[in-house]
Amino acid sequence: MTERLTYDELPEEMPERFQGSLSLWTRVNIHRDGKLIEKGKWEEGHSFVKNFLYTLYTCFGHAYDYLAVNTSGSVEGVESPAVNEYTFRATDAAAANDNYGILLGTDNTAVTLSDYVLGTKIAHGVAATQLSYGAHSNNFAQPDGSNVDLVLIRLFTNSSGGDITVEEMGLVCYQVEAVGGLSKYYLLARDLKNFTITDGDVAYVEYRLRTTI
Amino acid sequence: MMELMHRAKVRRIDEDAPYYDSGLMKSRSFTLNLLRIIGVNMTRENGAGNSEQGLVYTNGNWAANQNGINDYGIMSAIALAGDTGYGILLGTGTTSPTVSDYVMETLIDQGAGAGELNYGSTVVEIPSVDGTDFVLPVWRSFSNTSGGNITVQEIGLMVHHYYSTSSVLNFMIAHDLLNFTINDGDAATVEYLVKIS
Repeated sequence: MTERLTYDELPEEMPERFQGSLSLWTRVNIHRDGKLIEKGKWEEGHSFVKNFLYTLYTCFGHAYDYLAVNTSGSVEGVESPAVNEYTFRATDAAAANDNYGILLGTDNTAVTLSDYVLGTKIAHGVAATQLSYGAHSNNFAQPDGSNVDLVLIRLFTNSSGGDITVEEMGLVCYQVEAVGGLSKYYLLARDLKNFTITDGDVAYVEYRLRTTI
Repeated sequence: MMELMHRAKVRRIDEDAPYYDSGLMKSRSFTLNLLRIIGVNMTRENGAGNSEQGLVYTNGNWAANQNGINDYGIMSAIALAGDTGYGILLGTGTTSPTVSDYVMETLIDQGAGAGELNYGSTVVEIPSVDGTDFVLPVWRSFSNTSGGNITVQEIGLMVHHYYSTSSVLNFMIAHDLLNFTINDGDAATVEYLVKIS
């Protein structure tokens, strides 16, 4: 298996195996009392799962097919956008919403292409073992030399009264069926992590999608 | 990581077996437009028609970047036969691709005249398992009835995408160089393969 790379800062000139690829990178920064106390490294994601390509397929093929597996484990129709429909919709999830967007969990089972849900999601809240899910901050993808970066960040605050160790993170998208209005959630990417959010601290959890030419 | 590969095969029109197969080759070629489109859909924001947020279309101008609220969809690649606006396109340009590419350098036109190819429809297949990979194949057939041989030197993937609630344009999301010849009377199948492992 190819070694997963880590960087303090993502380099402008990426290794050859990333050329022509869409890579996914993760980083976690911990803040306390408004100050950065622990700056994480960029870690190469493991990490797109089948649902990501199913979603891309519905776009390219302008299709509606029962292909994707939702976060409840059911095979669902995934479709290209129609009225009120948003393909890949993920990081507009509002604060307190732990159904989609960037989510955290405590399971450390190895990632597979068939993953459809976090192993053990950390719920939103302030009770024991819960985290307060913040809103996301995003950018418009920007070119930088031979790369294009799309940055997705979510804040998580620990007000649970105890420390919480995070062992997985995921990116979940949300679709509303054009007919029937059924809400559906699909895991697009999952990665194993290991970091602790001490009670009272805030984690800035980041996914970065990068194309390299 | 999601990889993009491409492949070209050439055969006699009346034969099934190709006499030329480039094999799967690594592309180097996703463009800015791809992440801009995925981005506005992930974030449910719409981008203005400028270089900071928009999509660059085939005349080099910036278009607004609309997320998917239209019934045509986003990033459709299923161009019909004869349509050289989107889907997989072929050309004769030789300039190295960059992330800012937005158009084929020298598009080979549809037709049976000199220097022209007949474009089939672009086919998008349901993703499937291939060994340890999961792949999304997109392919198109081309036939040469131009009366002369045609050497292909670039391929691109263009998508049909709304840039406002009612207006649609074609945007390049991948561009690659390759080199193969379709002799007069022969046919080629050109494939892009999106792959996760």
